[in-house]
Amino acid sequence: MILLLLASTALSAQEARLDAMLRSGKVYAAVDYLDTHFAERGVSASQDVLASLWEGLRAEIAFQLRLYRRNSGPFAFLGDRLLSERRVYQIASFDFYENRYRIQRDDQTAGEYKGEAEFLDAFFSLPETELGEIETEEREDYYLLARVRMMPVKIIAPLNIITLFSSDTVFTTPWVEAELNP
Amino acid sequence: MRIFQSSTTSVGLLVLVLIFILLIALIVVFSHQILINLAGVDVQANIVAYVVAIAFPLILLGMIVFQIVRLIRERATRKPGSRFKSRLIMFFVLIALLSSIPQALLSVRFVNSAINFWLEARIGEALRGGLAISLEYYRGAVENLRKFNSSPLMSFILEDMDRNPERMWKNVRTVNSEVQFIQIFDADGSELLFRGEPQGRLRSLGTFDEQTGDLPKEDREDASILRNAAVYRLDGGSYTVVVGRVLPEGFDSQASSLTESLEIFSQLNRYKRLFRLVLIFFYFFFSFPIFLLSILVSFLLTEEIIRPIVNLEEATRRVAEGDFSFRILSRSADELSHLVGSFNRMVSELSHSREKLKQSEKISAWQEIAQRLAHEIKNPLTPIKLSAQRILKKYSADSGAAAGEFQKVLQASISSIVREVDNLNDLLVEFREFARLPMPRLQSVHLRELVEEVVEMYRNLSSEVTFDSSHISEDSIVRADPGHINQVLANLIRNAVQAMPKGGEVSIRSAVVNKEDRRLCRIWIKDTGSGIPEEIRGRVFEPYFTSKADGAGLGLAIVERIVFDHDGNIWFETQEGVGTTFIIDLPLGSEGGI
Repeated sequence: MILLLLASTALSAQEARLDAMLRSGKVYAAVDYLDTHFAERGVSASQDVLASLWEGLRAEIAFQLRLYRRNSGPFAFLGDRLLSERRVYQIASFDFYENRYRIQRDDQTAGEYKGEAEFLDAFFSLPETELGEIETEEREDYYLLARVRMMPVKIIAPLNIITLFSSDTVFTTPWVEAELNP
Repeated sequence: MRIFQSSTTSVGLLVLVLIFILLIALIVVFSHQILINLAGVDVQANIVAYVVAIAFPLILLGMIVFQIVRLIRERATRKPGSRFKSRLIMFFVLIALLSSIPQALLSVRFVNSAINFWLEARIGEALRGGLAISLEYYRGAVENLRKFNSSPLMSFILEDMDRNPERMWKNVRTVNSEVQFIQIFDADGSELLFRGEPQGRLRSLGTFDEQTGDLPKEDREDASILRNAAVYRLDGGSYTVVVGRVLPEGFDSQASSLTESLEIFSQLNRYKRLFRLVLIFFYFFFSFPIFLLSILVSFLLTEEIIRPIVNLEEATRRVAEGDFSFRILSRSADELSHLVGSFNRMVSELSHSREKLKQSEKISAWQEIAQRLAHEIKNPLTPIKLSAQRILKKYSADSGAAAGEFQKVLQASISSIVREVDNLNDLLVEFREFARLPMPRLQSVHLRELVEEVVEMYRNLSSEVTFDSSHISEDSIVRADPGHINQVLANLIRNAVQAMPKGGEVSIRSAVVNKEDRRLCRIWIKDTGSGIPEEIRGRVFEPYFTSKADGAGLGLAIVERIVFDHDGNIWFETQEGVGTTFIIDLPLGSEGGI
């Protein structure tokens, strides 16, 4: 089982870009999933998503954000302190009746897009999202981590068990770190 | 020594039953909740589930390996029952395999059949065909509205808009019966006219980004509405005309479920092989720990089954080696427990018979020696005594006047010879009594009366020794020969009194005890004397052994023999400087037997 789990995490190099901002003491983060070409499958992530949508399937992208405070002093070995964490999910589908792409977010908002490019931009991006409040003077003590988990096919339960055993159903980027920009 | 044919493995079995229940609970929870959420975003959140899922079978496997190693070691050291245990375990494992293999095959086959059945190509075709029909219908409706609203005919119809709106609406319906409503806005977006299905009425055109062409379908709880908007210039004015229709009730929900069904089907079809493998994997993932658990149970059950047999084997071996004190204790109440009980009784009776045999052999040997000794000594004693008497008589008659020093010496010497011969004769009489001790005539007697009789006799003889016989109950009845028991009590009480030359206390008490299915009367005769020295403790019941200057050494030998003849037992506990207690077990008598 361990081998299978390892296999499921052996993915092509995925990347995400994280922008962290501090405004009026509030921490915001914006994340972009960078379109990747899957050499072993001969398609890019965006092509994979579009193909699955046209097949009547849905795609899912999850953005995971973490705000940390650096731990210094004698207890530094305990690691940095996690202050807040957010996960944002976006589910994309194609409306065959309207010939439109739809994005349903977990905050119950939705978007509709006619063009592929604008749909992909919206789907692969997380707009500025608030993560918490900190003291502005201590900005340098904080940093953010983010990663993206993209499923070209959102696998429904109980089929989603197979994501544990398959390496081409879920694509997860490594954690990316960003300092807080004023 | 005693060994327990106990049920310590029962605790182990109980633990395994609890593990089994836990496993079932885990399966239920896993299959209904955890597995469904296992593929969530955060793998770390499921770490507990992973650990449990991996660690549980590993722990069970470890326990089985431990049991196997133990069994191999037992076989290597030829531990009793190890071969039988191996065979039993093999048997249990075989049963577990025989029952699980068909079940596994059936389950795998069932999974394959179910997947193949549900993913039959025809179902996919039907779903796609259904969607195509639905789309065709939908697009046809949209196309129809678009064409109608952009047709030149529409400009003519709209000319009646101001003059006779009812006629205009009638003409619309006549030309295109699919149009169910019409709404006209002026250049400012204000509504000028609405006719038809009220559901289709828009509050304003501003709802839409693009205000001409096919407007987005409006989905309501009870209906879906299609609209098409076009701009017309009539009489110098600009108007936006919206025509539309309400889709049949349920169209939207049915279209949604069709889309969802197609999604599920496409997913299942796309990951069919993987899903099949995963299902089979999870079947074994859950069934393997149960199989391991059944093997573990077989180890413990085997232990439970084999333990009494091993105990019996061990006990038999120990008894064969001469250890008759070995007993097996059993807490269970099954057939094996009866077997253990019978074995214990058998060993007990064997031990008792052996003791009696040893005692009888010892007594017979000493009796024979005593008879021969008495005969050998007695034969020359009589002529010696007669000769001495004759010499003395002759000497007195023939030289009555010549009495002198010699006469005195001779007379004294011969008198001494005669006296010692008499003493020897008395000793030989005692020997003969020991050798000819008659068999007891058993009857039920009150122990208290016998004790009181003897105690009374010794109470008068010794003023420095006190007696306490108050702890003998009235109902202590033994089955014995009163004369013999009297002799036993007299011997023991006399010894006790003699062991306390400076005075002390002799206490006698009794109680009813249960010993190996027998009810016995136990008598304690305790003195506060100097105790028996350790070096002679093993010889006190031997005939002709005595620590007294004037004793024949037959008292305790006679006591032991009488007690054995009564099917009883005697032993003592002693501590130097503290005293000695002789303990006698005699069979109980009955009130009616007196």
